[in-house]
Amino acid sequence: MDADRRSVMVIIPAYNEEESVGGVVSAVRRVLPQAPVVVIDDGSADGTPQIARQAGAELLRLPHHLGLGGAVQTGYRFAFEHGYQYVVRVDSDGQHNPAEIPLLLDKLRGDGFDMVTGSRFLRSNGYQVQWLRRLGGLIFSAVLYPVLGKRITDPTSGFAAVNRRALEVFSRSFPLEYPEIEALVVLQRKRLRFCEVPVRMFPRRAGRSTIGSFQAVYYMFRVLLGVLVNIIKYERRFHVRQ
Amino acid sequence: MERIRIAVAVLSALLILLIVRSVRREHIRVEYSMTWLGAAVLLLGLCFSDTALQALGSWLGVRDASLVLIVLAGVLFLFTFFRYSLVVSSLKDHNIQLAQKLGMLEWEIEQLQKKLEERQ
Repeated sequence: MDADRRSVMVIIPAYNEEESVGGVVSAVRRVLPQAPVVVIDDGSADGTPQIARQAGAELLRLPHHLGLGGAVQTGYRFAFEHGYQYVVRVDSDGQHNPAEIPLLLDKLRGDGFDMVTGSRFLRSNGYQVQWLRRLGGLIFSAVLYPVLGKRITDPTSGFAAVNRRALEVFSRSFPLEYPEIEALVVLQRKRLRFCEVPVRMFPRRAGRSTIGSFQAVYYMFRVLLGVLVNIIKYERRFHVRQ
Repeated sequence: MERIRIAVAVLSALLILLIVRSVRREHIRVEYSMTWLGAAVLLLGLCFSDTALQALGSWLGVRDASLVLIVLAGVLFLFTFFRYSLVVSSLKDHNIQLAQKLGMLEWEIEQLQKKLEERQ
């Protein structure tokens, strides 16, 4: 990859998303034609890697399934090792709108934040979400408020842009399972700044969510424990309010 | 000898045999068999030592020797499980790092192959 392109990289973690990944890669390439789009194939058993490559993505193939956090961290490590300044993460299921990537990047570059995430709840945009998920999101927001010192409306959003400082942190330490919420606490621990911007999200184009109804309970406890562990890890307990 | 002590003695002996067999067949590495063997041998020894069980019982404030044996077995196995949780966590971390590195190296090799093909 040429040195002048080493500014923005888009990473797309994918696991058995052959029906949607091609469209996502193409849409991202239309929005950011100069930026490399890297699909991290997390051990898919279907045609995900072939379709991603046909759509014009660079492909990082993991030898076996690591889980979402492992795949995302691979992308962060890869970008960090290749000297990229900004990385945007877009999910492969088609829920994120690539046309809104510039919103995240502008906020990241212009306002000095280390991470900017897209929130589907910051502004009412008609996005329909299961009541259980909405309830989970509200509980996480309430738990995170005293930890982060600010309200996060969509803590489970995976639509995120990070700068090189956050990239360095994440390339060393990134949660393996359900990483989005813990990642916020990791950033807070490192005194990095983050914010949300309102975005529009779509229903999945295809496939099924990795979190079923029964897993939701495990998810809640797993994430709350992860948050607690990260609070205990705090280098300095009292954070500066953003 | 009480039935519970006989049961613990038999189970400990079976555990020792199972671990030794697994080590012989290279299903378990020697370093990971040590904790299990240590716990099983200790329990087996205690089953046949009234003096040691009574001494432990008086230290714990428990009169019943069988209860002492059961509590001790529970504690030993909890420590053993904890040790293997540490081992598994460490292996998982290494495994993730290796998988990530392998994915990145494969990409590097592909790039080099492309460049080589372009030159030819």
